[in-house]
Amino acid sequence: MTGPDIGGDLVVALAGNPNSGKTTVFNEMTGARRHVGNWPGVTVERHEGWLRKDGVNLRIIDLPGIYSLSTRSQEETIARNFLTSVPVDVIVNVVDAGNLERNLYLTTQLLELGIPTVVALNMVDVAQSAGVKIDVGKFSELLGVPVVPTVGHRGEGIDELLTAAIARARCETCEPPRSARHSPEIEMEIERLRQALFLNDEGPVSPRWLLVKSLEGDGAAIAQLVERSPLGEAARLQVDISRHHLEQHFGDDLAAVITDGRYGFIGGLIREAVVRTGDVGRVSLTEKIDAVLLNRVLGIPILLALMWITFKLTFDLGGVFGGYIDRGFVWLGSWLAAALPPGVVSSLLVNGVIAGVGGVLVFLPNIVVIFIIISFLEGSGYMARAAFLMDKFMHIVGLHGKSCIPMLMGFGCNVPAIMATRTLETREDRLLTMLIIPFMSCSARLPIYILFAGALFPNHAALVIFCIYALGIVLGAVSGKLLKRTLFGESVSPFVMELPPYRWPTIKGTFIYVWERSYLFLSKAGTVVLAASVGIWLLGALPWGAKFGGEESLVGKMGWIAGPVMRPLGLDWRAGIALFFGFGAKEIVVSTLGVLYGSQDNSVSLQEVLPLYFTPLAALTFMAFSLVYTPCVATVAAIRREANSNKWMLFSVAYSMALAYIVALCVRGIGLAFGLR
Amino acid sequence: MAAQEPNLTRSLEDYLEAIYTLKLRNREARIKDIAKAMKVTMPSVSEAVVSLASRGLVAHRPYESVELTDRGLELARQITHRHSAVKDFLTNVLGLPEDRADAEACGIEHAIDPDTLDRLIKFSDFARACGSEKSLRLDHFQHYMRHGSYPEQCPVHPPDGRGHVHRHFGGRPRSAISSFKLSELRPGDRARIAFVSGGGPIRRRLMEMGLTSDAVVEVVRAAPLGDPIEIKVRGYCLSLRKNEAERVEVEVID
Repeated sequence: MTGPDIGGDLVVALAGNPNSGKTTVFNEMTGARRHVGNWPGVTVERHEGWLRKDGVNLRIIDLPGIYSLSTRSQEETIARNFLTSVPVDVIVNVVDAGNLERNLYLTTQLLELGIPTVVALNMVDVAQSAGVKIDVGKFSELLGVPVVPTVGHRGEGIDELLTAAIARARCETCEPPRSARHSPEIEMEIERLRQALFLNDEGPVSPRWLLVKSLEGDGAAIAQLVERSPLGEAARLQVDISRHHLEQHFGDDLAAVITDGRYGFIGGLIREAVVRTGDVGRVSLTEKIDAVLLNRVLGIPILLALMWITFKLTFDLGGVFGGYIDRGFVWLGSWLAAALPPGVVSSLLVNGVIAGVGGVLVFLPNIVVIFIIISFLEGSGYMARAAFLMDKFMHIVGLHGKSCIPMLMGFGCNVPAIMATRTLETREDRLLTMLIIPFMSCSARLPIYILFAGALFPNHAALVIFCIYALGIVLGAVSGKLLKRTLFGESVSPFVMELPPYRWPTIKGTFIYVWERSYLFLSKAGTVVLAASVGIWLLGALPWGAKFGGEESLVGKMGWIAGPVMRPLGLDWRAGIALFFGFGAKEIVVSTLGVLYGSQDNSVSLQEVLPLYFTPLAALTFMAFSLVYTPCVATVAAIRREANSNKWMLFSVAYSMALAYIVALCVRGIGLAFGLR
Repeated sequence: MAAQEPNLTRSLEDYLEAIYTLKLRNREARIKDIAKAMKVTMPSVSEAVVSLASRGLVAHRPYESVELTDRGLELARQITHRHSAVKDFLTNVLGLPEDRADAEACGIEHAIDPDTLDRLIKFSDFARACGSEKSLRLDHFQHYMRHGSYPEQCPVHPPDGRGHVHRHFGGRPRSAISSFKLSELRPGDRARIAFVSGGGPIRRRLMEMGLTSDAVVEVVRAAPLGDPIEIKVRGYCLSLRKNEAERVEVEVID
């Protein structure tokens, strides 16, 4: 065995198509005994869990959902590198029983690896009610591997699946999985090459897999073959000759011929082991829902309405709980101010820590609500529909329909949204989407709008916030078109995307999703925001003896620079300072405002103080500027990492700064023209 | 094949074909567009449309698109398929260049007897499967006509009658019967995939997602803005843009 040992008695790799219910199976297996990290060198999430079963320690790796073991996307590359370089004891291949043909396409490739495999026939209940009856015994016999029916979301069959996986991994006498037979000519070439290249069975993957992939013209596989064959570089020539010969014979691209063959094999399998009992003409629930949600007339209005409901819920429902937290912190602040002797410690706690961190924690309910909704949209299958509905529009502004999903996620947080751009296939699409995402107003900016809209437009708060979001979308569209024209060619990447059946997301899955993201938010509030709050407090409190946040304090002195810059926008220096600190994290904008404006009297909340300093127009200008200007450090770092380029990171920062200033000027100009003050 | 067609003059057949092609391409066929496509005046189109309407093949109200009736649609498909079958024979078997074959087919299609056409199509298929650039044995063709199966001596004879039999003519593989692009179908249409053309990663991706030869696809809908489209293939729903669907050549299943 080669490769690093990653510990645990048995290493189990979970592999399967997107939407096969793989994550649900993983959640059922591991529960809370799990860890989220990143795959080395990239930022695709790596979920790993542990469990003990029948005295064996299992280490379970949830591989990214993929359709094929090629290397066309980062997910495929990760899954493939893991399976071909780490000694995996057993693969658990999760297959959607209701969508067998396409799911088995990956299975035919996994079986070729020669690694012990167990197939989980997931969601058998759905398949059965749709009239698909699967002869599990026959199926297992034809594939040459154990097949276990499961119902992921009810936890059915998970125990049996684990037992089968352990037995398979420990089985000394079991035959290796039986892989699909290709057409006789190809099989002959595989055998010829195996002998000509002197390949033996040592190594993490079977020579057969390497040979088939090489015949498909897969560069990475050919390189591995060259490494494993004593012939060295001469192996490459042998492969070329075989490929040329076969392509001549078939008159077609060999990868296409092999794909055709795999589906042929799957067709045979299904003819033998699957009986369709239900009437084929039955209209499924998904079709009925789609008849409405993807309707020619209703589709897009429904999408917009769903977004509107998302914001309404986030604002109203989140606001109620946020109000309690707010009052709690105000009470805590005034209690501390009264209880502690006045001085540095009291000032640090009240003006620094509580004003800063408290001002951010207030928005935790909003964050939880928005992620519950996003989790629901993603888990139910609606996100893919959103991409379908919006592709033409996205295409007009130079983007890809799939950009719609990262961009919608951008409304939650820009950082995971930028990470999600890797579902896009070309670098141009990814870069462009990354540059546009910051205009999708993330949940960290929401507190700013909630604060200002609530304080200055109490009767139209939701409308104002909706308009700000809409402004972001328009700016994103205009920027997309502009940047596509000027910086990127007119190249077009494919839009081939599954529209999965609608499903109820599991409560457990939603809980884990929301928890992981809320935890991220909290840890940011605990570290970055706390540090920044103390830093701002210091700037406001130094030099000792100066009036806190007054003109003599360090902040006040910085204000002399901020003042002239902000004046054309109708904003004062304190707004400028808050925006400056917002570069650290947008949450800090609110906490800085809390420190700078709320400092005179701790018994009132910031929302009550703001109207004294901001006119409605100034509030609008401030919100617009907050929307557009440079996203937080974390987003900038994500862009740098994902684009792998300092140049693009700097471009993103410069572009959004310049645009923010221009947009804010326009908002003020238009407002003045309409007589707003 | 085209046995029950009402007596149509050659020119009326051309009109019907033009209306059908226009509807496939633009979803509507206005008198103006038909006139433009056939390079005739609008009054002559009107006259032809009235004549077609009297035979129950089209329905038309002034200033609106001409609609094909079910019978008209059926007939138009037959005529169009006849055209592409003849053209296919001319290019693939006789080696005529595309544009000339197109013009020739326009003449031949009206004159040909259904049975002769059927044989012509069979011959095209046979030549693909059992012929090569050097040899093509007529006695084998007779065997094929009699038994419906390729003789054993065929240079390429895929066991189940399918497979990659297109190489001898090096160019675009086209079905002789009724070849469309997936992008031309309307919601509700079902078709069998003949071939995914083009090359590179998009073709591989389409095939990996299950769009391989002989798979049956059904167009479910187009997105509200007209593009992309949603199709059903191998029991699941897939969306793709029209320009990607253009690569997928299909045979319509009625």
